[in-house]
Amino acid sequence: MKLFRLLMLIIAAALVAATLVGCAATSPWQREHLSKPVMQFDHNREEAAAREHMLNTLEGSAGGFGIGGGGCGCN
Amino acid sequence: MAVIKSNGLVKKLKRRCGESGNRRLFILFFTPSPFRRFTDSAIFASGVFYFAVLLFMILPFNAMAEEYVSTDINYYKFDGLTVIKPMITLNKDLSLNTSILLRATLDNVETQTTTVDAVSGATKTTTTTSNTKDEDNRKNLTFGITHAISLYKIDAGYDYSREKDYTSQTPSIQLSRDFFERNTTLAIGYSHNFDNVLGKYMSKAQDKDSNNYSISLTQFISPITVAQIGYTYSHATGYLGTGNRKIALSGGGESYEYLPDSRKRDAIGVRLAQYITPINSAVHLIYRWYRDDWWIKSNTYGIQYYQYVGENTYVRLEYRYYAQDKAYFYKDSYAGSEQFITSSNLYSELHSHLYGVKLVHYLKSPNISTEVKYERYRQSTGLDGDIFMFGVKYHF
Repeated sequence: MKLFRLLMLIIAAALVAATLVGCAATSPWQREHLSKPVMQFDHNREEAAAREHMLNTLEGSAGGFGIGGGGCGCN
Repeated sequence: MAVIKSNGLVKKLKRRCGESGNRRLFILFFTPSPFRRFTDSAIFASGVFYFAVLLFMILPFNAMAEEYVSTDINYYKFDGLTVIKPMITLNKDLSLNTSILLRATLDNVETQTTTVDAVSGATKTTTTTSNTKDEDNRKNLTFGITHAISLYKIDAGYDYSREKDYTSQTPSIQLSRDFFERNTTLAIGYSHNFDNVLGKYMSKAQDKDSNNYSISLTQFISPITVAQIGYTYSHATGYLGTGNRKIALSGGGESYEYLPDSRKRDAIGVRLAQYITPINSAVHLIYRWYRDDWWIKSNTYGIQYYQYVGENTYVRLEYRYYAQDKAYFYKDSYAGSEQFITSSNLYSELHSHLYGVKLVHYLKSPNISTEVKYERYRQSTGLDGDIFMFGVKYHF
């Protein structure tokens, strides 16, 4: 898992660096693959909402990718 | 109920209705009369009613973005817990720049209620001194509106949730802006939870409030790679327990659950999606780091593999690993003199595995997609569960 964490840190650093240099990596006509459902984070918002709600009732952590809705005394 | 004609009458009604006055006023103003006598279900019924009315009102509009009506049903089967969760969602353009989201969710929850919980230090298992079946329905309504102005997008939302021992209202707002020929998106958000708790061991309802802040950055790194980093901060105050737990003490007797009345939580998430062109597949890597001032720290690792098995069908395989430390006040047994006492595994040291498979199929005419999913969840505390989901989405 330490290797995985290191990899994600490198990705985060690359992401921030790419943004800071104002990189225009892809033109609109190059985004065929990026627009596919399999390339979108939380493409099914209903599934993501249901999963977040379920995990909040089972585990002591929450958050990281946005602000959730309300409901139940999960935490 | 009388028709309300003045603020004086509103105040009078509030006084008469006591603590639940706001809810009754809501029912009176917004609930069609046929539903009013079913007060326990009135808010949810009226939400579904207006949802249907709105659906008929707005269907004639021309579609300018992804517009759909979807129905999903989730079924969770855990040790001592069964949840059936139907959802219906409408996402619709109101104009070229404005769209709305409406969602109604019902959680039918059946639990094996424990009168007294005790965590045995030797076995790490939960001891139950009595068992009864309990059933509850959580009703949840979500409304959202999105408006785009040039490179800016603003999302405003409102979420209402009610069950017999918990009520929650959450207004939220998010502002996002695209940069660098729309290769970069920066989003900031804020939401506030106005919650009210009335567990079975509480003599009166108590409030819980949370301020939640978020910021995220999404970046196209190449024509086949996209990454996202996000940070969330949340500060909850008030009654942070459920009011539904009693804990057996080491010297005999039992205690109610006591938790701190403030909790500050930080989380950082990183995600990467990579398309693999030669085999028409994609891989998502997900990592989340979390900590709070109850000393819970956690790491979450996830990987999702998507494989097209036809032009309109794909399969998703998934694995998620989660591990957390215990809260500073969590112990295997309590004498009763401690300031904070809990038996909830939410605050214990634990790790979990989640395995999942999902199949998605698109039909072009009519424009319908169907999804079916199975997941297996295993926690080191001994909790095991199966999750099933079936969904149908109709795109306008």
